[in-house]
Amino acid sequence: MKKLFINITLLIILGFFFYGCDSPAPTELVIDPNTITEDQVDVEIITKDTRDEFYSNGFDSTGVAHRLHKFGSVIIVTGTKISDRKSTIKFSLAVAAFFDRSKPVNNMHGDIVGFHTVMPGVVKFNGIKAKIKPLNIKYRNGNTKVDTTLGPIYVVFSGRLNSVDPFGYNFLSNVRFQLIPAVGTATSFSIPTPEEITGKVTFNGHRADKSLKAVLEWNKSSGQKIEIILGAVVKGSNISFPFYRLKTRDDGRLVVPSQLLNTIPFERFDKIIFSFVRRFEFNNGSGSNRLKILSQSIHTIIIDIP
Amino acid sequence: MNKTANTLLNSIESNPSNYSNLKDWGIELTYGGEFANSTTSNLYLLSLSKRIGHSNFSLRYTPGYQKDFIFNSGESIILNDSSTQTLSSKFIYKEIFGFGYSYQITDKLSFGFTTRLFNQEFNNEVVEPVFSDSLFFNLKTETEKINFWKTDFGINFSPVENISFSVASINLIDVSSKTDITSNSAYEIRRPKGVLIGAYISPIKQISFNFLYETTQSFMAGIEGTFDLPNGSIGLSVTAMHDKYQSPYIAGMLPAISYQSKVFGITLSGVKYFRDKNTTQSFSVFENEGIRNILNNRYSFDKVTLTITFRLNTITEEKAKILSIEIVQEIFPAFEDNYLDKPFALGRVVNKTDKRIRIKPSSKIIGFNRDIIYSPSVSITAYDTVEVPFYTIVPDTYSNKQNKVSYADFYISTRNNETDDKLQKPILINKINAWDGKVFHLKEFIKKDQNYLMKYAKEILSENKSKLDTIVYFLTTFYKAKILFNNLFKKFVYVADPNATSDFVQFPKQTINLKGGDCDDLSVLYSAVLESVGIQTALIDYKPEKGLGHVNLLFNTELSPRRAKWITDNDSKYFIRKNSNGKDQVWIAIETTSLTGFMKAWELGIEKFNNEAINKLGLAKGKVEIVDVQ
Repeated sequence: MKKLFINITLLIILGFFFYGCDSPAPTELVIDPNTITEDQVDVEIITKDTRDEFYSNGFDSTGVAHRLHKFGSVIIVTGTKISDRKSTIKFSLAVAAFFDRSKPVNNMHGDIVGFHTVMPGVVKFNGIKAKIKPLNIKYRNGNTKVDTTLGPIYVVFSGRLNSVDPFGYNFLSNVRFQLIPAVGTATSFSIPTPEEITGKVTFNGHRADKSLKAVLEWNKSSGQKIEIILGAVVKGSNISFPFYRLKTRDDGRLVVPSQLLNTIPFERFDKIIFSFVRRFEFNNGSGSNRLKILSQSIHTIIIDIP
Repeated sequence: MNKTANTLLNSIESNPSNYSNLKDWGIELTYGGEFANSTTSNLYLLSLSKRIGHSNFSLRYTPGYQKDFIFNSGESIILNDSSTQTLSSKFIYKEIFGFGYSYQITDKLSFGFTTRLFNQEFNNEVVEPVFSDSLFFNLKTETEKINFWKTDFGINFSPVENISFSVASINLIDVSSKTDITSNSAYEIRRPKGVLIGAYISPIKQISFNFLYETTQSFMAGIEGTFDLPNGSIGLSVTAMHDKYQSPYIAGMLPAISYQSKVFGITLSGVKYFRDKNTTQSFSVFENEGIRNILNNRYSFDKVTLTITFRLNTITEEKAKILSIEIVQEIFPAFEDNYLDKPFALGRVVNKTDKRIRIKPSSKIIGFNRDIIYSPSVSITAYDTVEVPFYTIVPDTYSNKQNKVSYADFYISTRNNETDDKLQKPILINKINAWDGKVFHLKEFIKKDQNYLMKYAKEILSENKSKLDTIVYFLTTFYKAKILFNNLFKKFVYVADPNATSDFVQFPKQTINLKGGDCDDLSVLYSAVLESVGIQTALIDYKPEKGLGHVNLLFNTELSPRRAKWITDNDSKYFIRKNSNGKDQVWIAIETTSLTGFMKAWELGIEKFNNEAINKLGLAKGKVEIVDVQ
């Protein structure tokens, strides 16, 4: 009788082992606004080719690295400050580019690398007449680099003490845009500006043992999301590469995923750049008349790699 | 409250000494299913336990004690085509296995501990950028595992059969495999220290109440009804559970139904949680409060478990139990026959079954008996308690000259070679010459050395053969007794007991060798010598008002009253008694301490007898007693 019980028990146990075991159903948790340890961040690679100096002239400290040639017509107004370990400089920039989407520029493979621009009239920002500048782009055509001009764009720029143009980007205010065509009725509207963003970067650990950790803090606002551009400066030069675009809640704090920092080949780069971008973004019109309007506060911090 | 229910409380294991009730081998298997979005089933627990003496050992393997969480980590990557891939995390908490030990100190008290191994696995998807000529993301999973051992101690106390209490620690000893702080440490199982207090009461046999309280402010309260069947019982129970970290106040109910027989048990139990299961579970709550228990937490799903238990007892179940033992006689080694018909101990034994049983009592006195001595079997009706006598045998070779305290093991068994219960009691074994002062027991000394005495007496009689041959035949017995007395005692001296007590009696051969003794030694010797040649004797017990008594003897002259004049003209010098055939014969009293001669001993003996037994009505009043040796 005892042997019978033992045999039955063993059979039942073996049966359960082989036929009856599932993985338990997991409980799904939802990240909510009260979550403090998990940062919500979207990461996008900006620079696909880290040896392509195309990216070096378009770092987002000025807000014009938005690959303007890929847009429809665009108006960008920016209040920028750039900090390094010594000082912070501020400047304002307003750009307007009107693309003729019927005139594409193609590379040797037939891919569109941009559109030629047009000049619909006079453009003013806050009543200041914009200067005409060429929009130059570089692109690869096989093994050769091609420099070309897509056409004129409108630019208003003010550096320290409103030098160059007396244009000042005022935060939590408006920038008045005017387009006065050669023929026809003038168009004007106000572009609201966001609260100024001021960032702070704190490093822990050291790159040598891949323990580098960056804690980013800024003055939080009620806006939906901010953008942080993470880049680096090539050792011994002023060429800078923007690597990643991080989008996160405008809640004042972000711990940069450690892999993004510790995988940077520091033998090629000696400075890290963080650009904090708080932006209003509007769309106007559609089709060939589509107009994108960006109004943004940018704080770029350049730090020697610890 | 069934054990499955116990495991659901926050302490996970409510009673570290809970294996004490097992008799031998135990196997338990729990299989269960959870009612999540999809129903899953798993082997929850497989345990093996073994009792050795008062110790219980247990091992348990718990593949189903697992809780998984998944969530989007908050990090996303934007791909080339502008689509977004969200990174996710998966946390897995498991109890792997455990082992326990408990010790039954008494029937009422046991203590024990359990140690269990837990595993926590934190899997986080991360993107690792790869810098070559181009920059791209490599998606991978980072895993961190943290194990910890948890040990808790507990005590069970049952002052009476239907009430018990338990106290156990919660998270008392906690040893983790990793002590350095990691990014996942915030999500470890919370292990606050505490105490678990339990109470069980069964006011009537069919109903019991259970209550478990944790100092971390959770409790369980349950009621169980038991219904007897011919070969087992069915139990129905329901338990309410309150958990500080769950809502509503009564977080869930645990119904259970079980069937239990002697070797097999099956329990179907479940957990029904009352919280709203349609709400999403917030990560922020999880990160703030964590979980404290793998099986029972605010994220647990309703479940049903089936528990099968086998009690593979190779030790026979105890059908009878010794309640108490009373030593009713000290051991006097000289009283050989006394223990064959008079028990030296009486036990109270209860039949624990619902059937009549027949028990075989036995005993062994350590340092006295060489083998177990079996006493007659006793029949006991169902659930009855009876008095069981234990007899013993004095070994022939026992010759210890000092008193000693030893122990007697008492056994009862209902089958051959299997003991149902045993008990040990201390017992006094007196020295070989010890006597309890009862003249009746002097017969045991008289029986000793019979072969030696027979030879000794015959030698004396042989030396006096010519004298005996001249004596008329019906006076032979009288003269044999006279010759033996005069030859035996002519060089003897009276020596009182050293301590003037009556607890030491010499065997006849010892008295011959020592050439002296007190009244009991000399009476024993003379009686033994006469008995060895076929002369019937009786001891006269003169019982004292206080202090020491006295003993001398009568012997049967085998003369008829009509022929008494052949030995004396004084009819007060003899005493008429019936022999075994109912025939009147002449007995005369001898004072053995009078060592000057037979006639003087007779004179003194009959004088004391007439005075104490006849004139003072000692025989009638019981102050004087005649004890026949045969």
